[in-house]
This record gives sequence, C-alpha cells and structure tokens, in this order.
Amino acid sequence: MDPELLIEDYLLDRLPADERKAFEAQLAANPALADEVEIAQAMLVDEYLADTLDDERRRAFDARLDKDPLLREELELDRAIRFNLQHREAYRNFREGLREMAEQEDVEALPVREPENPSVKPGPKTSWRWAAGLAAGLTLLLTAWYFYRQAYSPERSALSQFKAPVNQIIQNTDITYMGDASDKERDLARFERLFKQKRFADAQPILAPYVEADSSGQLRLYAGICRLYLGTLDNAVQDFTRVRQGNAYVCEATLLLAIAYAEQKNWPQAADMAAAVSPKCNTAIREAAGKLAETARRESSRR
Amino acid sequence: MPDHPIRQPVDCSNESEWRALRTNNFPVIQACLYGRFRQRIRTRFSQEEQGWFDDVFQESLCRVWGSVMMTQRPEQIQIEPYLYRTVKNRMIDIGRKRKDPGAPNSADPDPVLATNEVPPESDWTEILFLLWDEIEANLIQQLTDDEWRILDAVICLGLRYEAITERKIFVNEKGEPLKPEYLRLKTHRALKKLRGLVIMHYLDACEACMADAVCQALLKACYGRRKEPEQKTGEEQDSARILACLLKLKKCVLQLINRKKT
Repeated sequence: MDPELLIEDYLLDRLPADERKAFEAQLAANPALADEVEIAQAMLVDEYLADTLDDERRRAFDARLDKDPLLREELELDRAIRFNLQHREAYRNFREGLREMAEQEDVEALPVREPENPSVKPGPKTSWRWAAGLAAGLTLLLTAWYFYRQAYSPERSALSQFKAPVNQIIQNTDITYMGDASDKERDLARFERLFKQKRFADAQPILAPYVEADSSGQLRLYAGICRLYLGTLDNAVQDFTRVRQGNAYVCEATLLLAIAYAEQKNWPQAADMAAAVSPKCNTAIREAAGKLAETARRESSRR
Repeated sequence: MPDHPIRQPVDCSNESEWRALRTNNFPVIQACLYGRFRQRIRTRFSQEEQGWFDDVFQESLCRVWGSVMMTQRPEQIQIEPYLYRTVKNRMIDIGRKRKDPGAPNSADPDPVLATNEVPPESDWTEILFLLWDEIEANLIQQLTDDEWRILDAVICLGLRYEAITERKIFVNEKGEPLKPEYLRLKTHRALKKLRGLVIMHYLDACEACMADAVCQALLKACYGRRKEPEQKTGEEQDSARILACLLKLKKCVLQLINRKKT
C-alpha cells in the first residue's frame, strides 16, 4: 500500500483495528515515519482549519473529531491562537483608530445632543435659536481649524512634493485580470476607476477580498496606497513592507514605504528607506527618493 | 497627505460596514458606526447612563470587530443589531452593578458570548480575543527566537511555506533552506507549544477557580513543559478526563473575564 495513503488512512481513522495497532507499533520503532505522520497531520489540520479539505476527507476528519472530542477542543484552541496572531497588528491599528476618533471628537468639540430632559422647562424660543446658531458656528470653525491642521500643517505640505510619483503610479494603474470570474473582473475594473479618481475610501473595500490571493504584490501595493491616503499608516507600512519582500513592484513599494514612514514622522526609517531605493528604479522614483532622503535626514537631525 | 478622503456619501449598508471593519477603513467606520449609529443609539439610554456610554460603545465595537473578523461573509453577522445588543447588555450590567455591587451579570456566563449572533466557532477564539493583549507579550517571550520567527512569518505575515523556502528565511547548519514540509512541522510544533503555554498561563491565573488537584496535575502533565501533548497515554478514559479539565479551565477563564469587566 502507498505509504502516504496508509498515513492518511491512519490519521483519518480509516484503518481496521489490527492494521492500526501494527502501524502504531511501526511508528514507535521508526522516528522517520513518526515525523512523516506528524507532517501529514499538520497538513491535514492546516487544510481543515482553512476549510480546504474536500468533502470526503472533511467528513472523515469530522468523524475522527467526533470520536476524539479532546482533539477537537485542542484544534479550537489552536484556531484561537492562530486567529489572534494573525490579527494582532490589525486589531492594534483598529484600537488606535478608535482612540483617534475619540480624540478627534474632543478636538472638534462636537456637541452631543442629549435627549431633552422633560423636567427642565425650555427657555424662550429666540434664546435657544441664538445659542444653537452660536454653537453651530463655533463647531464649524473648530472643524475647519482641525482639518486645516490635519491637512496643511507645514510638515505635511513638505511631503506634497513627493506625491508626483505616487500620482503617476495611481494614474498608470492597469489591472488586467485574465481569469473567467466575471465578478472579480467587474470588481477590479470598478476599483481601478475609483482608485484613479482618488476615491480611496470607496475603492479600498472593493480591493480587500482579492489582495491576499494576489501573489504579484500589485493589489497589495494599491491597497497600501489607499491606506496611505486614508491615514491608516501602520497598515500601509505593513502592506509596502510585504510588497518589498516580493520580486515585483519593489521600487514603488520602497518609495511608498519611505513616504509612509515620513507621514508617521518616523524620519530615521524614512531616510533609510528612501536611501534603499535602487539605482535601477525609474528616474521619477529615484528623484523623489533622493529628495525625501534629504528631507528625512534634515528632520532627523533637527529633532 | 489625505486629500479629504470622504467626498462621496458613505455607504452604511451591513456589507459596507462589514468590509470597513475587516479592512480598518476608518472613514467608513467613523461615518457609519462611530458617528451615525452611536449617536442614534445613545439617545436610548438615560442621562445617568450617558456617563459610561462612550466607554461601553468603544469596548463593544472592539468585540464586534473581533466577531466580524471571525466571519467569512457579511451575511453571517448583522453588525448594527449585534453592536446594539452588545452595548445594551453591558449598559444593563454596569447599571445593575452600580446599584448593587454584589449583583450577578445579566447573562450566563458572559452576555456577549451567550448571544446568538456570535459565530459558533467563536468559543476559544472569542475568549482569547478578549484576553490576548494582556497575555501575548508573556507568551511570545517564552518562545524561542526560532519558534517566534516561524509563527511570525507563517501566521502573522501570511507567507507560504514555499515562499519561505525560496527566500531562504530559515536555513540549516549547511546554509541550505529548510524544506516546506519541515517548516510546516516547525510551525505546528511552535503552535503546540503556544497552546501549552496558554493553558499553563490560565491554570495559574485561575488557581482558585480550578481548585481541583487532579485536574491541575493532569493538565500540567499533558500540556506543561515536562511532557509533550503527543505523549499522553491515549487511553480513552484519560482523554475524557483531560477534556473535562480543559472545559473546566475554559469556564474559569470566562469567570476571569467577567471579574475583570466588573
């Protein structure tokens, strides 16, 4: 019998009792075989947790788990550990985003309209209107001031000069999906349109389901650009870092990573990354990287 | 750098909110959930409750985020009803505790974990999600560098085993890249160790609740450093006892969460 099939039958509890016993005796005596079984079990568990087992093997594995509830419990615990490791960074970013939302609300001093207390008599109508008008005016002023500070602080505008190559990347976006999944094709075409219009908040969710499966790094690069513009910088840094680990889009990802670090005011990292742009990259990227490296070095020493 | 991200009306459908939470799309989260929805539900709580409403809302939104990440499709979770119920349960609990500090919590044993909207696979996942931040550093510290690197590469960064081999991220003594199947084995062994560390951690943290010497000894023998889980006897009876102890530990961890909340 094919040893691989034998191992799988053993793991899926499909061997008759006597064959199972004989196989376990072999396992105890042969460490190499024990390793092979452990690898096969690891693969089975990976596929089970990723829900990629075919129906027949899934049923067999489920039947085994029914017989061995301890193994099921352990797998649940493993799934939990994987889940938390997998999402640790994203969860941190989420909480950070929540904190910023709360702070932003404080900065903008947005009044929360409480439900009216019936025990309190309303004052004269004209005075209420006057107060509401004043509050609305103040809110508008504070909001405008906040957005002005966010978008046009001197440090931010210093970076505007590096937008040119980013704009070039955006405008050159060309997602040619050659598969026959029309939904995906439609989604990516829609993404490309919104992305070129710089409607990043609308574009990003359309792209999200396809990023993981794209091994070229192209979609992750675009996802990172969306995040860069939307201000979720930790995620953008993560995206560009991963794109850089691949073979394609390394020039773009390196420059964008440097820009993301600069946006985070992480000037030393921005300088290092800008300096890491290869001489083989195109002129626009090299020039932007050169300027950025200079700015970042200046900011680093100033601070 | 953001060029005024939201100029278009924001889509606050369940699907859009689901996608926004999964991708940390803050403009949408802010506009739909933190803005519109929060303002809408806060009027349903009394003046007195407003004092703790914002904290509860944030905590609940974090839980919903976790639940959303556990789903595969938007239709598996109705975000706003789920968020509302989560907030409401917590508000009731806090209000009750303020009036009577000895009062038990509203639902058994945790109002959120007990709601029907939580996906069925969320048992340990949801429990650990609520506690992960406080235990993670301690757990990772107990892994070797090699163990953490492989978990980081495979699980945190999502690299494929083949890609790790191609990029020679792990090499043997001769400088040759480790084969994908061996990397898989390393990952599983590291995970198994982490599983043991989680169990041991809560065995210590829940000592009073786990006042059962037999269970303590059994779990330590099975998942402690002295012995690998694989080496357990395999006897059906033992397996059933270990399972019972593990389930007991899970209950104790839930109690721990409840205590922390109050």
